[in-house]
Amino acid sequence: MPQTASDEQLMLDYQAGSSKAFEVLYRKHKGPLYRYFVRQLHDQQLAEDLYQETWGKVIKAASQYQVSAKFTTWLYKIAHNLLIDHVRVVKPLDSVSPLDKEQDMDTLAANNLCAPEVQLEQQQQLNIIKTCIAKLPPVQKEAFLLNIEMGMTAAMISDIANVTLEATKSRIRYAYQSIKQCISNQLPETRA
Amino acid sequence: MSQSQDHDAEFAALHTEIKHLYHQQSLEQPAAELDEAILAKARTAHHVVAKQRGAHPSLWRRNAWLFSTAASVMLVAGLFILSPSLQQQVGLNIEQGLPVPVGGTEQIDDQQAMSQSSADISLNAASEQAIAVEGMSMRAAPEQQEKPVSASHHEAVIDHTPADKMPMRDALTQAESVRQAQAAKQVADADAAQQKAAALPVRQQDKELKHMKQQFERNPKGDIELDTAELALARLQALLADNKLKQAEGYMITMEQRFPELLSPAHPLYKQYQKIKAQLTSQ
Repeated sequence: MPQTASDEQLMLDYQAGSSKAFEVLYRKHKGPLYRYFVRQLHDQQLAEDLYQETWGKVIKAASQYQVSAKFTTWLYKIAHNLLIDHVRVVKPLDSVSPLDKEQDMDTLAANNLCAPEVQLEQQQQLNIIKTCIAKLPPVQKEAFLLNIEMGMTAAMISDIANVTLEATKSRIRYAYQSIKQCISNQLPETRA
Repeated sequence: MSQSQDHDAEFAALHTEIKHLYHQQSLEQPAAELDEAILAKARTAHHVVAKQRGAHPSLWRRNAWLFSTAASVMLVAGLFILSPSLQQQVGLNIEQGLPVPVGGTEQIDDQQAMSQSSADISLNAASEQAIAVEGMSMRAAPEQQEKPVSASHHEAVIDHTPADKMPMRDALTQAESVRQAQAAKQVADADAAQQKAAALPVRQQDKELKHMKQQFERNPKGDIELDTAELALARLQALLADNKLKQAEGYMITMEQRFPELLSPAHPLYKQYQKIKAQLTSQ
């Protein structure tokens, strides 16, 4: 299997009966897609279920697959729709509570005991960024994750989320600004 | 304008910074069991399984066209062999198309006919004559097929005269002389039979005809010996004498088709044939 094969070509190869092509495709996209669910849901089991269901839909639809759009757009549209169906109908994502602040601080404090100062600061930053992402509103979080994980453009994200391009651009911009603000707010707290 | 450019530059810097931080963290990955479950599902997907099976089709599926064609041909051939009425409808006679083996089915038929005639002497003469008419028309084909072959053999003997062809030429010439002797004997036999037939009364003619047929049937080359213009003329005379006019007419048509040389004034039997023909058409 050549490494330069596009996602679309891999999908067509899988359609033609090559399970090896699917394996390549899966290994390429498994991490970002998994995090797409995990970071938005905060429910590991539900995230895994939806992740598995997404791939199940890809496998099922492979025999009828046609290259009409980028594979990633198609994949994340499936993921987005599953997320909407399974979560937003039952429990609006806006009402998902962020991670407990004290709990985060406890974890950071525990890390402080066993790590050198530089590593500690880096670890603090990484934990802060995770916390800050979790605090984002769902629509911004989705746009941010798609942009930062897959390098998707605003146009692609607007296609997946089925919103206007301008709205998507705003979501991405606000998401980055919010994270920056959040990190700036969190760092003095941890250093204090 | 410059303000928006500043914003873009700011955002680009922010984007790079956050991106750098984001990718520094340990990123969650699905469990190995989950990977295996999904990949196993992908491997057992119906379209993958179908394609994998399709890569090694069975012998029957690979040669489906060949087998179906062979089966169709066998079916049609079987139908033709089993159904004589179908042969007649199509206008084919499979036996005519097949080469006549020496001492084969024809001979067996002849032997059966012989034993039948010896067992029942009072057998109807007309039915035997009808069989004889059929026999002549049936046996006409092999000789017609034989003629060009023998002619080509004869030409081959004339054309090819190198030394290495000599033994073959000798054998062919010998065979030809044997054949001519047999033909002369047939003509003599036929003449004798004709004379006898003309001399004897009608009933005696029938018996004579039977006797002649038996004589010819006993001959190992009966198929060919029966098929001569002289014998055919004798049979026609016998039919006429027996007042079997319809059969005689049919036989006459067959004769003309089989022996067109009888219509040539140069043929020795021409006058005799014309006389019988006139006699038959006047009645």
